[in-house]
Amino acid sequence: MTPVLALRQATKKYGGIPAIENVDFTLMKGEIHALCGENGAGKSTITKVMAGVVNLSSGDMFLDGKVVSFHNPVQALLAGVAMVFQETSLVPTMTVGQNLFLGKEKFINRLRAVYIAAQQLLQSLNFNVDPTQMVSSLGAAQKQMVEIARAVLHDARVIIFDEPTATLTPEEKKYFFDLMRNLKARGVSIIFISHALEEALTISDRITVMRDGKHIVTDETASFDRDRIVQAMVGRDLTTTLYGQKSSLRQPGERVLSVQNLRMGALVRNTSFSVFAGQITGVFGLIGSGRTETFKVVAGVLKRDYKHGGKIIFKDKRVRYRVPAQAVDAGIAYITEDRKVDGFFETMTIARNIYAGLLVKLRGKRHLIRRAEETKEGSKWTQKLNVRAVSGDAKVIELSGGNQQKVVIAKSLIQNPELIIFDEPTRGVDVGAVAEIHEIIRGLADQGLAVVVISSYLPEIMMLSDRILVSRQGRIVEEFTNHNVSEEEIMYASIH
Amino acid sequence: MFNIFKRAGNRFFGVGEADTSVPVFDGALKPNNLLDTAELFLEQPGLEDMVVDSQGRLVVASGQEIFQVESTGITQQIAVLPNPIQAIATYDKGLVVATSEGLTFLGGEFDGKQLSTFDGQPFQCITALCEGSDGRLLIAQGSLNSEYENWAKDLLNLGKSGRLLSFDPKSGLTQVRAQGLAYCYGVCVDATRTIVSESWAHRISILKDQKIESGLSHIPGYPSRLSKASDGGFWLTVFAPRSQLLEFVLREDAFRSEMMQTVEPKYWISPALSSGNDFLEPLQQGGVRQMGVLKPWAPARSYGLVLRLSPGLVPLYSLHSRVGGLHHGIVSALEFEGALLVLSKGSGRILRAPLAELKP
Repeated sequence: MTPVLALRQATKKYGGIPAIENVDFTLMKGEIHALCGENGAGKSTITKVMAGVVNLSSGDMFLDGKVVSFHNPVQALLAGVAMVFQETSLVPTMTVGQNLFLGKEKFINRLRAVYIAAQQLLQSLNFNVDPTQMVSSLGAAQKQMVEIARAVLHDARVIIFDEPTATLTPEEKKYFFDLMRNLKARGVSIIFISHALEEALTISDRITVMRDGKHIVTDETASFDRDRIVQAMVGRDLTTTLYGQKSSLRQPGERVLSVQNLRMGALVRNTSFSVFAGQITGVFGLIGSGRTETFKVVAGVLKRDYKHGGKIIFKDKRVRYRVPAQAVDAGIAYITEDRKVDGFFETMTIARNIYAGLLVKLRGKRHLIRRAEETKEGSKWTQKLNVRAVSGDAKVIELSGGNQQKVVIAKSLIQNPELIIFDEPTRGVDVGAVAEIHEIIRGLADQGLAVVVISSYLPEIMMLSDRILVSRQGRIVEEFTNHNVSEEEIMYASIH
Repeated sequence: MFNIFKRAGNRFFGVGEADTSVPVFDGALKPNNLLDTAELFLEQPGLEDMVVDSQGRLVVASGQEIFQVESTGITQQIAVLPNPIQAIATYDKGLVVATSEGLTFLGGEFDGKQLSTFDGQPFQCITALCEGSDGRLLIAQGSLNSEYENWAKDLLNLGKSGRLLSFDPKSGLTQVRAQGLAYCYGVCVDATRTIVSESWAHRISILKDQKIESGLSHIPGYPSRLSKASDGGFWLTVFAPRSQLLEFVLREDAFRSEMMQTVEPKYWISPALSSGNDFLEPLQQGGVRQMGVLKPWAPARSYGLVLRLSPGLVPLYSLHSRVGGLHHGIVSALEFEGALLVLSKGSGRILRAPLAELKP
């Protein structure tokens, strides 16, 4: 039987670095195919290739046995391949009917006719959504339904769902799975990406596991269990050359931070944990597990719920910061995961960026900038963290990713923090700088500071941390002491 | 006036004094099963306190009796008192014992001496005794308003009448070292400091020159007695866990008052030394099935916990008997012949764990 959609030796490179490499993939007619893998495994890239969002660097894509290449999503949609993104692409200020027929309007467009056609389509799919309702007033599951209906309206034979259940309630999930089965019965082929392995095992016919941009295994769902999927997802060689050797465990010092029953909307749900001085506390979790949001609340970047939002105790004092500067004042430094947006002023020099960190600490006390002090501090931290630049006056935008990250770290260290939170400290950092940044982090813990490292990359967490907290669905669900824990155990805790 | 609005606001938003959040067992307090896997050393109903006497023998107080216990677990009765014993300590080559009637000295220079009142008040609710560095006897008194066995009543009344006294048997002089303590349950000294535990405040404090400094706060349970560790630092026992349910009850004055008036004390929503023994106990039957596994849902009322503290009062590691475990209500722990002995009042057992196996 010819697959509806297939990839052969598919490779996609970004700036010379392969996001997927020599991947073979087949999707049969009327099949639900689950795609599993860690963050960065290449799942999204593979689906973006199929949906025409990006093009392959090498290799072929086949639709009904014929080689195809989509240059944009419209081409893919016309060929019957539709993608439903996690964030829906509906226009919130338009009605359901208008959204369904967006781009397919007739020359003379009657709203009544649109609603009648939309009603017929939604009824045929057994979707209980009013076509005259405004999209902004729909729930997450109903939005998904409209997206699916739109895909069906475009005669999609292949529908790709990227994390469709992440925003659904358990009841909505059950309904959504019924919808998928309904589509399958109509002969539609489905690719389903989910971090919840339980869902993949429940709904899919076949499962493909990807790791580090490579295809690892494809098999019938019946031959998988959770353990086999987890092992295939994380079974990489530990890159000890890149991440160095695990150092001996540091004993915990005083409890610097105690978070108790913290809540923030739907992202942080009644989470409790502590952070101790003189230790590196690693926080692992899949994207969307609420790790970053939790620590942003601690650092005053986000605010916890006011009503029954729990309690944050920093150095035995109950705190709720209104702005990050208050947290900096108290001794908390948060090093952002998105340095280009939140980390530095790209057109300013290294020294000026580092000095800006000090000015935050001295706000209200220092009203004039001292250029001599700026130069002195800039040069001191540049040397201390080994920031490599063409000249001392180089702008941060001109530096490599690793050196930019060192500037962001210096900007926080100059504030003399007692708790320092690194969010994805080596994301987008060149290989050589990874080890240096890790050395800086270890050095801070050895000095007695409380250090938190948030990372999606397990080897990094394993190599750096003295204790590991696992985040799932907005709360810390497990704590491991990093002397006899395996990657599989951590991954298992992050998923189940 | 503004306090009324502030209190109303706090109650509405669940913040300030109306906040029911509790700290979590993590870091050095990460749960394990060390208490449930420890060797059973002695089993006897009514166990209350234990001490190593001046000759290095283990002495245990149980009910009205005092026993000497051999390392093999064989017991030999030393004394019987007219009232149940609440605390025991060594003092001047003898023993000093606290009962509901006050203090009694057994052996040593002050054999037979008794102390039954202070400041015209009967000596009630003595929780711990310890010989101070200045040779005086330190007396921890949990509450002035509740008897020793009615500790739950003191908690639900938000008691803060505990105090630490020092008594010089030679001169007969008794002094108040600290007062207004939220149930002073433990006292221990080292060369320079006197350390006390305050159960209802979930902390241990350091007494220095009549001033109280914070030692270790935000303990996720109700601390009880303290003892010295041989290589520096202390052992702290915790007799029950904190829970959001109980914190909520402690903030609901009307509910608490009605519960105390209309419900039998053993069925109060309060911490317990053991639980799960009676289906009438509050919320012990709750459960929720998650991913096919039945998990307890009901907040735990009892737990077993011993903390090893550094000389700086930082927790280093801990021994636990978890919610489903047997050895809850830990009120005393001490080192004896290379092992840690742990007294579980909830199960009426003394457990033995070799020290060499405890260090992480």
